Amino acid sequence: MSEFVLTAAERALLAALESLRIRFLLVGMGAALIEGAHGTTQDLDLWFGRIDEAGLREAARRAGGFYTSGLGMQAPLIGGEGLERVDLVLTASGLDSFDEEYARAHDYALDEVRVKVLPLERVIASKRAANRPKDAAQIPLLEAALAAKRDHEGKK
Amino acid sequence: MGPFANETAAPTEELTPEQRAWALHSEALRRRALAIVSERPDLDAGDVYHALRTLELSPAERLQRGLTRVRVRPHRR
Repeated sequence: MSEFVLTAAERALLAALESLRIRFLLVGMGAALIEGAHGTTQDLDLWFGRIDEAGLREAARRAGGFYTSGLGMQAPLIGGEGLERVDLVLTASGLDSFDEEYARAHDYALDEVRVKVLPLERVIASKRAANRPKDAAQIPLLEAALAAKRDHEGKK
Repeated sequence: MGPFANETAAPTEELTPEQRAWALHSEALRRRALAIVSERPDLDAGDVYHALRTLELSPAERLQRGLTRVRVRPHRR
């Protein structure tokens, strides 16, 4: 069994994005999990400040997948074997500009790949603004995790 | 009923040293959780306790616990 959290394709994609200097933030519940929250998610939501189509196409190719700018009702996506969990986020509710959020994002090494992660308090702000039923249901757990995290960091 | 009322107090002398250490650490985290909740009564002490436990894992382990491995999209056959 693999010791990696990410699929090989996901690792290759994130490494390619870094190598190609395409800036992205891991947002949503995936970010919350890394920041210490409990819960589950099916997706790795990657927020891009701007869509660099040539860069995304190359990154996807290096991961053995593909990029398409959209198809019918389908928004831009990265697809392919092992990339099923990757979702591209083009707009994020309740957040400041991409540049501002990127500047205060947290750095993590995930499966030996460097990723910028939206801080938990900003994930909560985003979910509050989105105000979908599934977001509202997650907020108590996220708030508990944020309180624990602040206490944990205060004791370091 | 208190936030941890479903727990029973086990006599620690029946535990191995490792088990006792685990139990004592757990107790310390529960006390921390209750201290946090005393200032934030909107939070659930059990949720805070589990969050404190989770913070002892590496970021990758945290993600692994919550990220489902398989995603089936409608267009996949």
